[in-house]
Amino acid sequence: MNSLWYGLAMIAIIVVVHWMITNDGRADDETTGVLAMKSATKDGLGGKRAKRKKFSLEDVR
Amino acid sequence: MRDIALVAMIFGCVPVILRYPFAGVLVWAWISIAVPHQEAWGFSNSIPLNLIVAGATIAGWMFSKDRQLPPTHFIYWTFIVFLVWVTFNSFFALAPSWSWEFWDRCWKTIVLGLFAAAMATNKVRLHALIWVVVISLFYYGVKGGIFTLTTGGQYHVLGPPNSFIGDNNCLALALLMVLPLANYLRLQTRRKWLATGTLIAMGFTVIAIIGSYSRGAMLGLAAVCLAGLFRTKHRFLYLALVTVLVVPVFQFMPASFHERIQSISQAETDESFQGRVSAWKVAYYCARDYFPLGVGFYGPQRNAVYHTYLPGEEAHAAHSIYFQVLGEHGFIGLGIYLVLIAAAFVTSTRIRKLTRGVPGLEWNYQLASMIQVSLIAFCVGGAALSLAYYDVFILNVALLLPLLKIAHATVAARRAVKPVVDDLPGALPATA
Repeated sequence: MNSLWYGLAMIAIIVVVHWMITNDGRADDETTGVLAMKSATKDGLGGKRAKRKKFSLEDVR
Repeated sequence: MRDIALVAMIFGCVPVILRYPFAGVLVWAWISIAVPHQEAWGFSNSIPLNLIVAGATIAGWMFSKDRQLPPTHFIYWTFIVFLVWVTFNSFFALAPSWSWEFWDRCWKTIVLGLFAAAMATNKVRLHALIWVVVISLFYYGVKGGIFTLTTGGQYHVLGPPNSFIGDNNCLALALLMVLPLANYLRLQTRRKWLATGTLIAMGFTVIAIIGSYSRGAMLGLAAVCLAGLFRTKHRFLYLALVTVLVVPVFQFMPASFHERIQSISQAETDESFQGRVSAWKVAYYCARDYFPLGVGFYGPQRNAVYHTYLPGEEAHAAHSIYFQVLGEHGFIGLGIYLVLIAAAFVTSTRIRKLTRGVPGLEWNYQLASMIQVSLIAFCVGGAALSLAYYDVFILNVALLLPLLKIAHATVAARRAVKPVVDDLPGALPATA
């Protein structure tokens, strides 16, 4: 069981290294894979409010 | 078997590191923090894996296109001054051969921090490095939590031998420091299952901290819980979660645990605490008698030095990051160290102010806040533990440099765009 846990930790590190190489320099919402990050606009206030305030031509009329 | 897998992985990584030097920083951080060779129990212990990865990283960095030095901030210069001072000191240590051995660990840690600061130029890299730190310590945290639950909390949770975190107290402090960083990742990940998994691992880690029987870490845990309360928007939920997790674990622990924790209030009669007071006295005497240098790395705890001041008493480690630096590097060394800690708090507060409410920089705000909580854990828990040059502390402070640089660049870019919009004919007046 201990060896399995040790192996999992090693695999996890390899996954992180691979993810970093694949996603290096990308914006939040462009990141892919297991460790993909939340889009910046969905943080803090929450995605729902961000979507509600989306610009629309209807607002102008 | 573990040895073969570990050595194969490290040697397999070397070509990747030469091509992508930041991958080297990640592997280097993993080896320094998780010390996987100490868990392999075999021939990998005799191979300088850390040096191989560090060498490949430095070589890769030298030939890479994005070769640059860390941002020249006050923290950067404080690191350099501290490194120069402890190196200079080691020449005049009471036992130079003993001192150089520990200096060798210290300079590698600081250089790793500076490399991380230089190369973590974007969010993905910072994020990956935080994941490595968290995985490295959750390896012990989750295992320790399960161990505590399955053994009824009868035994102390210990770290890997021959490492900074081998001792139960030091491991507990390290686990405490990683909790805020894990919380940052939990908030930032897009995968719900990963966020839930991280939360569960945090729970096991808290159990491991309690299972370490470390009284210093208990004080640190209280400080982290309090600091977390001031950082969260959902205070009621946070309090409920902390209560639901911590109270049953305390109830679960055996009587020996409660006796040990209660001894915090009986400091004057507690033998262990009195031993610490003696070690602090020796550290002060060393700094006073060997002004301005101190006696070198881990010098005060050597029998020859300790017994000069307190003959007949058992020699103790400094048991405090502050007294450790004071005894080893004198008043000047402690001064530089305290300036470094203060600069880290000031910088993280500055980042928080700069990025508060700025769209797209919420992650920056969250990470600065969580690093600050991690530093609070270190400063409170470290007051009773010898872990002054710990990798996670150095990395926490070093990562503030790229974090501040990214914050400045983003905010400056927005300010540069704003006047153009305001100057447009017929532009509406600003409402906010």
